Amino acid sequence: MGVPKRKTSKMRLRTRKASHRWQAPQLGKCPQCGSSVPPHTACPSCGYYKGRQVLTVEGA
Amino acid sequence: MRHQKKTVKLGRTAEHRKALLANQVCSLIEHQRIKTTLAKAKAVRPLAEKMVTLGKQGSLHARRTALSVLRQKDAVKKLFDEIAPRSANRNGGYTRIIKLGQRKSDAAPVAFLEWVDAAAVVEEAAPDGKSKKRKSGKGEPSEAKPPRKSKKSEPNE
Ligand SMILES: [Zn+2]
Repeated sequence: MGVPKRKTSKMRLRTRKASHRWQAPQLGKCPQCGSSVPPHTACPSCGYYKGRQVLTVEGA
Repeated sequence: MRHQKKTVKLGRTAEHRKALLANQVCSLIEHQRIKTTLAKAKAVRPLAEKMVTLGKQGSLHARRTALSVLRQKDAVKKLFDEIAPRSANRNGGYTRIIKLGQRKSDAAPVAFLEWVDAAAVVEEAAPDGKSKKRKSGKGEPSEAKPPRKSKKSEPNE
């Protein structure tokens, strides 16, 4: 049976785990209302996309 | 060999998939814009554009080919009479996908699929609300509904 020769050091373990770190989504700003919007997506708060009204939003 | 013959399977059998795509294209023809998951929108788009190409040919043969795929006479008629002529100056790219973010229930990415040459259709919630208000106004139990009316009408205004 193959068996680890060395104990994994804290640094080696943490370096490996560091690559799994959560990253916040990359958000852009809606040019119409200024709220945060994912890229290439109609703004959920004002309904604008590429300079025109795409959908009507309740309460906007 | 099926090299580069890409088919979006959508987790369905071939017949189920064909029926789904045909229905989606017919809905798109009828309503000018449909809201589906992004995967389905991407799968529907090539078929919809092929149907427009048939519509631009306008021949009886093209009409029968379209009917054999869509299986709805009203949709084929509207396709050939309205939708194909207005895209006469466009060489492909008749449809547009607008991403709408993720659905609340299952986090599926949702999108609009719409005709590029359609007049800008904003999703109209207001007329429905008005008709509901009128109906509720005519209805007898007037005490329970007025507060709901005011809540609905304020955000629209
Ligand atoms: Zn906005």
